[in-house]
Amino acid sequence: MNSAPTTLLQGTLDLLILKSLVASEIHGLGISRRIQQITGGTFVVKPGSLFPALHRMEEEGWISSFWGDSENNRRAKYYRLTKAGRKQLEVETKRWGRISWAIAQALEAP
Amino acid sequence: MPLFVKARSFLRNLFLSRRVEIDLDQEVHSHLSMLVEENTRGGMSPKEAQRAAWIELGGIEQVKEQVREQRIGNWLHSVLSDCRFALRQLRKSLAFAVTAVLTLALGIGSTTAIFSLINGALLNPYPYKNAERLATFVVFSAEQFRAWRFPATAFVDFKQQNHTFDDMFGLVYRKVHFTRSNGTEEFTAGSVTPDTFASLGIQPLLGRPLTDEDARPGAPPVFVISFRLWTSLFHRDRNILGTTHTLNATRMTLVGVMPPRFQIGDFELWLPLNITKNTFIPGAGIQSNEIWTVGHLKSGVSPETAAADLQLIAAPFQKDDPIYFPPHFRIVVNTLDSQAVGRDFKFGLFALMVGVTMLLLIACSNVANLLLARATTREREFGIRSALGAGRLRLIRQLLIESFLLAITSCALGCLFAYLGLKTMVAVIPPDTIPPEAAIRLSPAVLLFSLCATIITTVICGLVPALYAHHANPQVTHTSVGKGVSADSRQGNLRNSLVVAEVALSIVLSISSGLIMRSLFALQNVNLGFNPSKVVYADISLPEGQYDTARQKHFLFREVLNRITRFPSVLAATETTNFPPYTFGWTTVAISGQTPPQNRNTASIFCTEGYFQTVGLPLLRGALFSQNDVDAAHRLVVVNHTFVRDRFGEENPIGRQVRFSDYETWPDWPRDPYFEIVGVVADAKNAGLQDPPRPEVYLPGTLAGAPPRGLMISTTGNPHAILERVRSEVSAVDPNVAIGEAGTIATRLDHYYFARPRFLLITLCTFTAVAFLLVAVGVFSVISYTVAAQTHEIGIRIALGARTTQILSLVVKRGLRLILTGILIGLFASYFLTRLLSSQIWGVSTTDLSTFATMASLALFVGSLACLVPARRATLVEPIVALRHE
Repeated sequence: MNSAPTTLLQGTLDLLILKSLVASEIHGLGISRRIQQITGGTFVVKPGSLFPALHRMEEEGWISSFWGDSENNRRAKYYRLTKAGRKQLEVETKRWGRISWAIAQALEAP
Repeated sequence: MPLFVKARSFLRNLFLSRRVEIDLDQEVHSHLSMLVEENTRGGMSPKEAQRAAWIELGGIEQVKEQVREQRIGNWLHSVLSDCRFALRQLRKSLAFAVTAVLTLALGIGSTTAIFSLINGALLNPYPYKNAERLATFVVFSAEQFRAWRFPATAFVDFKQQNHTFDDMFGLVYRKVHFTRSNGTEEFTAGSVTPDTFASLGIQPLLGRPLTDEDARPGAPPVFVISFRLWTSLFHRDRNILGTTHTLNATRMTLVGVMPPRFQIGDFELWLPLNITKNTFIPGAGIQSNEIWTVGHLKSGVSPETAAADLQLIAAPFQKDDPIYFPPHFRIVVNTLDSQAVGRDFKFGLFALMVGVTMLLLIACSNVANLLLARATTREREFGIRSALGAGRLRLIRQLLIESFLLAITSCALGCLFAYLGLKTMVAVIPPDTIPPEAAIRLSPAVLLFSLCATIITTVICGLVPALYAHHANPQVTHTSVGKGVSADSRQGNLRNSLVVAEVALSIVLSISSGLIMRSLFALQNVNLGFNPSKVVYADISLPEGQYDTARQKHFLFREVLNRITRFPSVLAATETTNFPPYTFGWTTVAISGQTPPQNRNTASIFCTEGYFQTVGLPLLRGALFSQNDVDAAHRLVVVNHTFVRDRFGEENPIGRQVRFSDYETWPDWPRDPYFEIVGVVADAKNAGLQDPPRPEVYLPGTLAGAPPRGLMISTTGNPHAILERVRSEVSAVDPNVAIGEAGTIATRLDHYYFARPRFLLITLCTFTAVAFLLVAVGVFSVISYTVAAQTHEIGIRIALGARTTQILSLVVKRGLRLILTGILIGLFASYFLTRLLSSQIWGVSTTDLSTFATMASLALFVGSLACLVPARRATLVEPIVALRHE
């Protein structure tokens, strides 16, 4: 369905979501804000991309979800990293490292 | 593990979709309210906070839809929803759906039925181990033009010296008298080498098979019975194992019951046989010492190679046994599979297969046409849907799913048709055309076949309209005005020629079945001179040794006849060596004073004085022989009218002397060989129902002991009751005498003469009916399509003042042109094709005018009727609606 650049972006989004869940289990809005925070505001993830990604990753078995209470005592759906998710984070991190190195090399070439 | 998670998600999405949806809804809403909260905390007014949150979220439904699209198994959901939609569509046009399903079901059903028949009778007739390698062989002489089996000495050499067979076992045919408290019955039994059972690899249903131990000289006599005999004689009693019975006056122990499909040799029971060079099986005739040899060819060995191998072994036999191995003899090896079904029937089956495949294709094209007609009327729907963003693939998938639903329903219905059809076919299959081992049923292979047929059907039916829909460009659909029939004349030609082919095929089929029907009627109306359902016949099987001479035989028969003729419902009874309508004994009759003829062209019957009355033969001249003549074995002969016409012309035959040189080698034949002609009777059928009677002579049965004989009784009462009384009388005279084949002459005619044409008739009639139905559907769908495509044009015509009859004839003319072309082609093809049937047709010309004319008008009638429905619809077109439609 998606063309090549979005695949790259999708991979990035997955990586960012996984990374944001390393420290603690948080809900959707929390993930969105955490990503905004750790990328210094570069990436703003809208619900339209966030939810499909979360549900897809849950079906992949990388994250799992449960209903809990938010900081303001609201019911919210929380996500946490699974074992497979941690492994996937490693894989994605390595892949991203390779890609960014390659891109950097390409840009530095005369 | 991830695979497990995925599977769980897939199942949850599929079966708990409500819960998944509720969960999603709650999550999105909770997200929204948290966004609002965040914004209020940031200092916005509640209204503003709400608005900003909505903007960030971007629409609850859109988010949900995006999530749904990501879900595992999403494709299945959309296919299911397509299915639901298709079902709704089909329910909306029920008439269309029923027609289409019926048409396809008939196509799939008939192909499946014929394929089952071919699979059961031709491809896998035998249930035995490695059945495809089983082969048998005979000695063939081109000079004598016959093939036969061989005696034990040869069998032993073949078995020991061959290099081309894995195993080889021998079976010897023999008649067995099974004596029980209520009389004696005769069965065909096989004396078989005990390795037969292991070679065929079939375990008994009960008990044990025969063993080498059983075949040793002096071993206690044992036997094994067929499932058939177990059912008919013992009513499937499991306790009969180990019981002893009297077979051919010997007490034998029953040790096993074989399963239903073990029918090697078509025997009822099997006895052990140890074949050595000296084996001689006592019994009447030479036939009981000819061995039917069967074995598994070594893997990869062809019948020809095996024949060459056996030929080498047999070469020296020619010197020792020139009767069985005449000069220039050849060994011919055939696989059992290749001999399972006669060549005629095989040809018939393949012809049927071609026929039903054509039927299926025609059914497919009909349904494709129906779908096309529908697609035309649904053009707007497709236009709107593609304007709303449905992709072409999505539209094609939708159509394919519709036709797939049709095909699956048809497949189920088709299997039901096939099941019922098979039951009927198995019931009417002529006797002895398929081996008794064959099981004709819907097997997994057959069901797989029909599934394949369904898939092909789907593709053919679905693809044509789907490709058409592919062209349904929304813009064209809405702007084009002048699209008429001429717009796609190439497709139109294909459709039209299909209808023409259907009509032609139905004509050929219906004319063939009409001709077969007329010949069956002609056969059934052949006048035998008596009522065949009121004449009972019974073969009498005599125990060995007791009834060898004519006098011994006559003593028995005279006693039985005396007892039978005492019954009030018996008109006449006779002893006879033959039962109508075919005489098996052919002989040369020399007339004194004439040169003897060279050929054996005269039928001869040995009988008692009651014969003529029993079969209603009127005396034309002279006298019949009396009871006294028969008892005293007077040398008298009665001849038929044809004999007199052929041999004497206008001369008076009474008192002339004749002799029967063929019989003079019999030991008990009178020493004075001259017989006197005493009477002339009318002709009766003696060469089968179809052929005219040949010359025939009737002799007193007391003259010779050799020919086997039976009883024939003419009755006014219930023939089955009479038969029962005959059984009890025969058994009362001598409990060791058995009744062999018995029944009424009518059942005999049915078995030998009517079964074949009836089978052909039923098969052909079924296909004719299906063909006519297809013609109706075919014409209907094409004309409907034309009308649908011409709605606009018809609307204009009506608006301009065209009358109803003009519109009607516009549409009907088009249909009639197709039908008439088809009829002409069909008649022309039938004129040549019915000749292929000439061997099956009797009493009517293969180009019988009335049959041709009847079937042509029937096709015309069916075709016109199918035209009228859409034509009437055309006349109901409202000009305003038709014009606004565009």
